Amino acid sequence: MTARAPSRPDVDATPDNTPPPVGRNWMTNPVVARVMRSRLYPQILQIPVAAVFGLVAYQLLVGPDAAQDNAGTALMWVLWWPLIPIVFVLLGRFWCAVCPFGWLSDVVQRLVGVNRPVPAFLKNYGIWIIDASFLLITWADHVWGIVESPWGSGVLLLILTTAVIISGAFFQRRTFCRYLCFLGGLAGNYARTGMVELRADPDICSTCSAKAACYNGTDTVAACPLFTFPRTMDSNANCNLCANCIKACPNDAIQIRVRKPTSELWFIRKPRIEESFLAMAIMGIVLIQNLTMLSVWEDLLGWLGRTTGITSQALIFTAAFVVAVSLPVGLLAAASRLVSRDNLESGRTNFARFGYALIPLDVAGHIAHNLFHLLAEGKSVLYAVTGMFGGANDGGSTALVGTSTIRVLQYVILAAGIAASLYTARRIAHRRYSTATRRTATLRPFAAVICVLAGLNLWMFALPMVHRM
Amino acid sequence: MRRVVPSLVAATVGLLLAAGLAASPAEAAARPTSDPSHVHGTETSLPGMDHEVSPMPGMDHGTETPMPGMEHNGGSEPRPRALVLAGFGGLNGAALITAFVLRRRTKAPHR
Repeated sequence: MTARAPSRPDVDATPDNTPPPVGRNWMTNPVVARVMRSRLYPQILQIPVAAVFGLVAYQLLVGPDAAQDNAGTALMWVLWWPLIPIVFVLLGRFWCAVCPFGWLSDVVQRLVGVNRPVPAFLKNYGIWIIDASFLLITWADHVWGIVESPWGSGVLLLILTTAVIISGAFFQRRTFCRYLCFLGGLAGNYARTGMVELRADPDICSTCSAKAACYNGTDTVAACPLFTFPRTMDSNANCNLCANCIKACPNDAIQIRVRKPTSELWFIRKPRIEESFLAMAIMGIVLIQNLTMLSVWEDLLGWLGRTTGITSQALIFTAAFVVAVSLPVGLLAAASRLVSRDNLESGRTNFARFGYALIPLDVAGHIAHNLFHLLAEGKSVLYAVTGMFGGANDGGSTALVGTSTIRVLQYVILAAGIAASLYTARRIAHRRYSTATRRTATLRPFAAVICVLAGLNLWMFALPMVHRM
Repeated sequence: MRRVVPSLVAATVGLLLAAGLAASPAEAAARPTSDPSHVHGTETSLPGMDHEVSPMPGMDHGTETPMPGMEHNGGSEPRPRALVLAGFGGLNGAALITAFVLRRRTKAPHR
């Protein structure tokens, strides 16, 4: 493709090269500092989380077969799964610090760990494996009904447990969490929109002689589990706020700061195409999850059955899944190619850079979708847990609030996501390009992609959805 | 990389379609059909539920959406389940023992 010059002369000011703003340091608060430096943190939180996880796993594997009677299904898919993206937005990958799989990996490593280096293949392609496994799990859920089947959910947990044990037994630190965990990949993307960041003070680090204790650990403090060097860290994607670096740093250089939501996305220095692809894949997953919960889906299945004779839901879903995931990827790729004529960058570079702008809309769509499960099916958690102890279900509604309230909340969240995505795209364009011409020419197609995907989400959330529990 | 990624995507799509085709006989038996007559109470099965919201097909009381190999009347047979659990236990046990032996041989320091 030949690039042509912008149609208007470059007349604008220089690009926005201001460094990311530094927010208030919470480590100056004595309570926060004491908690983060405590040897009990995060272990004291891992214990109850691991206990609940054990209960969930037990229920899924040997509990009632009907999803609505199984406390494991209710706790996992109605309570935890809808809440987890909210935790990612508020506290980044904090969940990873208390995740029972991470704890299991640490225990296995302590007992039998060989501590081999992470294979180069994982370092290079780990995020693609995460992308593929996330898509595969979503596909398998719809074809085999993992969410609706306690046994299916239990088997999923067993597969993850096996992967964690093998990883912890043979490789260093939390190799699985960093390079293979699909939830970790999701968390990494969503954590970029969050308001809390852990960063090192570069002025103090420049005088440090502690041989990267924050990364390598000390005799009493473990190394960074996610292989992140705080001194050069500029993203939340691979920080789980475990505070090992805070405890290991002899100079108190590590800070926990507040920042504007989504601001990290405005300052990404090395955009990666696989991370942008994951953002688009998540958008496709939210679209297909919504679609299959609408009455339109049933109509579509019926129409296809009548016109083509295809009645296999698995086959139709697979085709719809491919289309739904390809749609955001294709739209972003088309916009990136279109823009490359005007901003003189390759389509690949544009795809990698502006895919991050879709993350706020991803987060909003994901939270809005899961909000339905949480608020329309929330009481099923209570029913299932009390049922586990012999309590009787009074047969009442599973809804915590009415449908209209849920819909209003969904639209508020979506509106925030749309605004944040558009603003992020604008900030990226302004930061990257110096002239009004290039900024505008770059921004327009990406804004159009955001609007199309936002419109699709708004349409789907306007339609009645079906319950899982 | 430029050639690898499209090939991987094409292979994944092909595999998914093939798997969807392969899964369809078991799935057709396991999943309820989309025929409304097969869905118990598509209108509103739980008292107090909003009228705009209907229960998901297959999630009504007495109906479920099992994985392939599961029986309709409440889960798979005990023996296959026990075999699956034993298989996972064996795999994990083998991994742990192998790592333990390797660690004893190399005496790798723990970090």
